[in-house]
Amino acid sequence: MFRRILIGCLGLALCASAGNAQILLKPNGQNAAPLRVKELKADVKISGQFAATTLNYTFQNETSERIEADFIYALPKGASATYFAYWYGEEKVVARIVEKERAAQIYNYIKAPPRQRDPALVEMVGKDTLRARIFPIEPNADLRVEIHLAQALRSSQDGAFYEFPLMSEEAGKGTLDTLNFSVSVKPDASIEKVANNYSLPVTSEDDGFHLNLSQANYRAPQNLRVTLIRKRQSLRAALYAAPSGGPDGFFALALTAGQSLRRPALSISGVRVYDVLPARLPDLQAGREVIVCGRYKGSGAATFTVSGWAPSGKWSARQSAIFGKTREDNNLATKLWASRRIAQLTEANTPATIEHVVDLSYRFTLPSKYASWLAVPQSEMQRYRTEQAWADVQFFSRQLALAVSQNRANSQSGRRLKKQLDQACRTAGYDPQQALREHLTGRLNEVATALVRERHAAANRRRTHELRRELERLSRATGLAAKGYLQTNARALFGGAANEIAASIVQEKRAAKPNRKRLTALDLQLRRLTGEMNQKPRDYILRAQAQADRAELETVANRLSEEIVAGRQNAATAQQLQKKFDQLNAANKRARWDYWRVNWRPQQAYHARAHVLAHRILTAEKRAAPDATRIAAWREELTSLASKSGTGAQEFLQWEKWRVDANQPEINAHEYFMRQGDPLISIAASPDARQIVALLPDGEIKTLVFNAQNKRWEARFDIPTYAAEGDYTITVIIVDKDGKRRTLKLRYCVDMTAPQGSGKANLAINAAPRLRLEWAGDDETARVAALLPWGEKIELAPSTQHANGFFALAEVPAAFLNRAASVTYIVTDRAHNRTSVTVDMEQ
Amino acid sequence: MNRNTFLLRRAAPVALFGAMLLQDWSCRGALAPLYSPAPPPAADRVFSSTGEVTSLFLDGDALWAATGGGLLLRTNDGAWRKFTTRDGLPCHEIRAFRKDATGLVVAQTPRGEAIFDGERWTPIAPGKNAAKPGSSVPRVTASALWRGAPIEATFSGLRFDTPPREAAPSQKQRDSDSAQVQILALPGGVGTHVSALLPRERDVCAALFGDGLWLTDGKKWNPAPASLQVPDEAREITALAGDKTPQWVGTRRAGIWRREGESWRQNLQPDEPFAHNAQAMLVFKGALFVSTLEDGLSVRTGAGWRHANAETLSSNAPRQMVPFQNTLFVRHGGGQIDSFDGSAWHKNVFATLPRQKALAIAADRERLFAGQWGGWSEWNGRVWQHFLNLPALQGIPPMALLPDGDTLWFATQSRGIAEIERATGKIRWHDERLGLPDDWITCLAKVGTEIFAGTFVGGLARWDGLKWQVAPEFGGECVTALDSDGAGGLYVATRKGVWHRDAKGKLQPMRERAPWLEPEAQALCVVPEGLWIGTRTGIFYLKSDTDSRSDA
Repeated sequence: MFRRILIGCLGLALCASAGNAQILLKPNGQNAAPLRVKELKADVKISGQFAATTLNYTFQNETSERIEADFIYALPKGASATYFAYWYGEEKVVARIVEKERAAQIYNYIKAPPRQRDPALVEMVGKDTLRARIFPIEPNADLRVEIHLAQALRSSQDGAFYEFPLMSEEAGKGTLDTLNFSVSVKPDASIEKVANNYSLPVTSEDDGFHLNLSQANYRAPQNLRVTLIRKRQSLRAALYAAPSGGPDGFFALALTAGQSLRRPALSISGVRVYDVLPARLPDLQAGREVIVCGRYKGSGAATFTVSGWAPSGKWSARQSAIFGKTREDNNLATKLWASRRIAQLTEANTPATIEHVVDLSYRFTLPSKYASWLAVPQSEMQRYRTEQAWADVQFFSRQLALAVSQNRANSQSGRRLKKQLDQACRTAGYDPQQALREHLTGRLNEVATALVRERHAAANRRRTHELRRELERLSRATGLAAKGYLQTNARALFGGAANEIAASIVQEKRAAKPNRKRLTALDLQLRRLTGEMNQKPRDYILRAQAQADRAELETVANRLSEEIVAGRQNAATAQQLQKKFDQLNAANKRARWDYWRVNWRPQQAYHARAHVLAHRILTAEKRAAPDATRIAAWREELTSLASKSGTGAQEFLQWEKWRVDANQPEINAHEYFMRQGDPLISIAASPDARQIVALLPDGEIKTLVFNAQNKRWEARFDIPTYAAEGDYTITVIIVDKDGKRRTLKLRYCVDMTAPQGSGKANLAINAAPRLRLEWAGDDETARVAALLPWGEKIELAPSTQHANGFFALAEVPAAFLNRAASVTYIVTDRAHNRTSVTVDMEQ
Repeated sequence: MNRNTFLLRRAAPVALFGAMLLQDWSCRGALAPLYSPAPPPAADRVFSSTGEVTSLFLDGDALWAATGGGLLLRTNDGAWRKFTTRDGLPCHEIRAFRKDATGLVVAQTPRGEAIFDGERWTPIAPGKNAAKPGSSVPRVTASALWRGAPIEATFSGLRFDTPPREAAPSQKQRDSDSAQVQILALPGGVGTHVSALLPRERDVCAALFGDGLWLTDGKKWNPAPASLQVPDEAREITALAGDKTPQWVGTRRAGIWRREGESWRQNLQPDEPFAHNAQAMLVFKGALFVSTLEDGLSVRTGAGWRHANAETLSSNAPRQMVPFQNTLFVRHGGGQIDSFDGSAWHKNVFATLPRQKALAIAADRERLFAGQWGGWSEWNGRVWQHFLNLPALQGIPPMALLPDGDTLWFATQSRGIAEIERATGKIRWHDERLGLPDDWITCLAKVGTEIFAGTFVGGLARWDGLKWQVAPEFGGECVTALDSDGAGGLYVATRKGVWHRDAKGKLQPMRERAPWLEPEAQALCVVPEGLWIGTRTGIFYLKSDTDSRSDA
């Protein structure tokens, strides 16, 4: 976390008591503490009665924390801040004008975590108060700031004076490590002498008067005051006039009358002036300056005539000066005029004037109520621009998408948006069409849906026409084929209904007495719908047949499994179900539907039952007097079950031998078969066991409770999220009725690793084109599904050729035979971890 | 206060009085309510059960107790103090204690160790007390030092590294590896294993789990004298503590017992549920019902926490609760549905459902839906209507149901979601093709016009009418519960914490609001005053007004 500081330069150069800049350190929510000014370097250039001051402050962050500085600076009366810069490492970061809200937005954007970089935001928070927010100032580091001021000097009876507050307001404070203050005054015929209150020597050279105050480890005893002593005149006029950038020039004129005047008037002849501020002079006080700024055309000598009413009667005086023609970029007069113009317009506060103020702020790089300075280091600005370009891409693409939807893409605003989007995309390195697609694909889909509906309803031709035109327009703008969208939507809209009708047809055909009339009607409906989708009715019929077969097979498989698990596999019901199951399997052997999961159920049931029998056989054989007849019968049954389950009887016996030898009880077929829900510890033990507990790997003890419904001892447990991946063992302790204790081990596995593997999707062009889907997985892979480019999802069956392999063949619609497309495999393992892999369809 | 508030406040006592009259009138001749209404807590709260004790530690006169629901300290003045995650503990599952080099108490938890500074707990080390893969329960179930030599309890008995001097060979089983190691077989009885040991001067006191206390001098076992024997409720002993003789007993479910003279007294903490591993939560007739993993229902009533178990219910594993027509229906893991009308419980009220087991239940204003293998049944309060023959649903068990007017959303474990037009039985499957991140759906919710689906490994998905939109913040997470916040937003419980999604779609983890929330959230219940969160290890309440956060 960073802290925030407040650097207050309130009153700096405003009054003597303000003294040196008062610096405050203000951690969030706490009182302010002083932050020291370490160094001050000032360079003042006075021309006529106008001064340009360059101030270089070095502040010291003595805290051990990264802080944000709030630098509040009250400008001297009549002064304008014309420049702000700070140092970011070795880089001098100069503030640029940005519209106020945008500047704040950028500042906060850059300052916000995780960036936490180094911008500075400088705003006018009052008429004459400047606030600079700088972030971050590193612990124990210096902050160096440069500010430029433009101001008019105050007049006095002797001439004019310049004052800078050097003295600290608080006693014993304000000691500077280094102070270097230099003042230069441009030569002027009216100046008789330059004096100062520090008794500093003033040198007079060809380029003017110079004085310098250089001290180390110095605390100023008073403010610095430099006085320009001029000849006494009834009217003193000091002019600064020079062009800046354009053909017309800017001027600043300081007028000081020898006596007070009411209703004064100023006329300037010799040079054409305009945009003069103030337009009308205020009443003049004797010896007090009034500043007039304005624009002028041409150059050369001009005469200023001031007239008005003195206490003695009508009064008039004149002076002359030269309006220069040599260009001085961003000269003092320019800044003084612009700042006064901004102040004037700001007071008006109308939308038009606000816009004008912002324009002036940009043009003359001056902060105002509506524009701020923002200083951002080069590297950060580049990053910001790139990120902003992305935001612009989003913005302009969204606007342009709207224009395209509203058929305004070719209007002037649409063309402008296109241009702006292209520009933003160039900066961001992004494809404009792709950007547009991101916004228009949804609309394209909507229009395609609506068009398919309208065409189907065939009710409103005009609407159909409008939709078609919009679809074309969207298709052109995005470069996406409308045909594909129409087909997909038709399938989405009518595919379900077609499937249902096909299912009804199949059901009707399979009924004992098919209703021919109904069949014909259904067939007609199916043809109409498949026509809309550009598909064949036969495909739907085949699919419905396969689904009906599958549902029937599934029901039979479930019932058969239940019979087997219950040990009734030889009963008449089970025999009938087995027969039916075999018939259905044989009838659908060539169908493209895969039945492996359905077939797996009875197989699992045989498997489970075989385990039970194997356990019984081995337990019975261990008895002192084994019942040979019974064992033989069980062995026969086991052989039969084993052959049906596809596993050798010996394997079941081997597996159960381990359990019998370990004194583990018989686990009934349901346990092997399947169960759902919470992790469950379920033990087949005598209901009169005295106590059964399970000790979990983390030491937790679970007491098992006898479930009278399924005659098993049970306890539920859960696996915390902090459990690491791997195998865990639960120890179960059983205390039998006779007090004997037995222990069992149950294992479970925490698996959070996504299944691995690779897939292929190869097009096999034979009589009927097929897509050959193959997945080579790992041991844990439980199921694999493929999402096909035409919207179909297909389950792959375990491969008979490769261990951990999965395989399927899918029919390929004609539209996908000669185009690039991809297939996404979704692979799920036994713990329901998932991986999705997309592969290209290959010829 | 604005005018409306003022009017409401003025009107409230009148309305309350009227309500009381009405209630009194309506209750005439009816049975008294079983559970009185309980207003939500006035501030944020943590409720957990300290009934499951894992370890006891005597530090001078102070007793430290590690439990599955936080940590207890009994100071020498007899006062109990309970510590939870709000006091800085990394989690509520405390396994054991130790003292560090400076004598400060360190609590060991599966999520790391924490040190006690006299006021709060500060985590000091990452989790090292969690079970490791490949590990089973240690062969040694308890250990102690007696007469300077270690004793270890194993599944078969007590193991002495150095045989007690006077031990008779006939009573020992010789270890094949070492002649020095001898094992004294466990005594007979109902006990499963030695779960705690307390060495005494002349003998060792051993807790035989499920049985009670036994004494051994290394040669033979003797039942503890009657003065030491614990009552039946305290026989599942997990920890022992005492100076020279057992004075404290920790149990698996019945908390801590203290020996006072010749008898044992249970020390239960006030305002605690019997169990806290919340699977579902619901407020019904003013009481909070919490279904737990295997301990029935914990019910928060105006008179404190109550417990309903398999004596009252069909099982100890209730999984889902739905109110319908002024009755609460509770579905159990075994598929039975119990009902509660406010006064009495009725077991297995829908035993005649065609497929017998209800795998999911839901209700709207008109119907109760019971999802079964391959379809569902609807009950309007009088008759059942069955939808169990839809071919596309055959062989598919429902995981959750969401009635939505004429549509029923039927969530599955491996097929995604079936959007079913109830009138026609027409089905539209939602799966990865429509952007669902996972085909195992754990829960469904409707907020405003939007449907949300929680998934097993794909986080949260929102149906925008065309596609399922996935919140990237939940990538790979298991969403366990969803509940509308009543203001267009949604609370999302995951195994890694609870999130709030506001009406604009902005997501915020609730741990930012309450860092002490346990992460494994499993149940949610929004009430007008706040939010109940049920986790594996505690029941948390966050009050809506964020200014009042002090634990009462």
